[in-house]
Amino acid sequence: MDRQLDTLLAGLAAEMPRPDAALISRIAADADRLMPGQVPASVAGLGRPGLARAPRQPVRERISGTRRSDSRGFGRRSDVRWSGWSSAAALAGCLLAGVWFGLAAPGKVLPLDRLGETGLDMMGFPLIGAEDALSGVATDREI
Amino acid sequence: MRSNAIEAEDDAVLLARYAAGEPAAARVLIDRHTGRCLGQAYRMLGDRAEAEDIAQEAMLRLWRIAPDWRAGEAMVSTWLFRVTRNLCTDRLRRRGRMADFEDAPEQIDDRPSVPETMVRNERGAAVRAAIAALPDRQRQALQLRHFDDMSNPQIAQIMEISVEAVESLLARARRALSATLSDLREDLGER
Repeated sequence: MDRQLDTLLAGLAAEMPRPDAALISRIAADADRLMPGQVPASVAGLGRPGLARAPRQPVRERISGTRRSDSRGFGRRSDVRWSGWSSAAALAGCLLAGVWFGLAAPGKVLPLDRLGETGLDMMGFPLIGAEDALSGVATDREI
Repeated sequence: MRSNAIEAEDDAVLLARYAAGEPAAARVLIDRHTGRCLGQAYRMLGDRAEAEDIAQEAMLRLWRIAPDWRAGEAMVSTWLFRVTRNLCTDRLRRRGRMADFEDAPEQIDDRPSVPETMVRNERGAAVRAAIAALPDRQRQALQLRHFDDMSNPQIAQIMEISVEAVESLLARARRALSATLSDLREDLGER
């Protein structure tokens, strides 16, 4: 009975439709059309198979990582990479320098005034005699 | 003229070679799998033209996935089986009716005599009816084994069961078919 059953099943299998030449050629045409190596060079990156499905690149890089380029003005490309941290560090440096000069410079100017000198002396202008009266540093006795 | 070397290659290797731009690899895959896709679709849809559309679409999806195919995760044959089944299911939903295996049109062979043809057709119809009466999983295993010419491990992967379970399903299906057909043997001209 097993052999008869096998024969019957084989007979049914033989009745199943077989792919004809037209179907085979349609499928083969699909395969040729979609073969990665056959993708047009403009799409596939010079037609190399490995580049046919290159990973999608982001439209823009993140702002913190933007490299300044010629298109932003100034003729030469800068290699400085800007980021939030470097901007904050630069700002802190400016603030520190301002505080240092603001505190240190008056400490040096005041003793000079006590000696009868002025800021003009420090900058190299010679005294001509009336500067003390004009600046209010001289006393009435001296005038 | 294809070399024997490429004919003997594994499906996954052929797919990789196709993805690398080798058309001969696609031809071998077409020869191996189109018949199975067509037969499977024909059994589900009962219409040759629709079955051809499904087979072409299934193979089209194979070409599309070729560059991303990950060898070792699935077999090409089982992947194609599932794609074909899903495409047929979608087609049947659209059509609004299920084509039964029993409704498949007869393939008339006009070379033998008329009585022989009648006996053959009756025999075929009886076997088809007996297969249609099998439980779903037994029927599926039997069809995959005898009509799609798949190995037991392939069937196991498709049905997501063990090879031993496939063997059990096949044995039960054959026993049930034998029991059903034994009553009809004399009527069908068997001795």
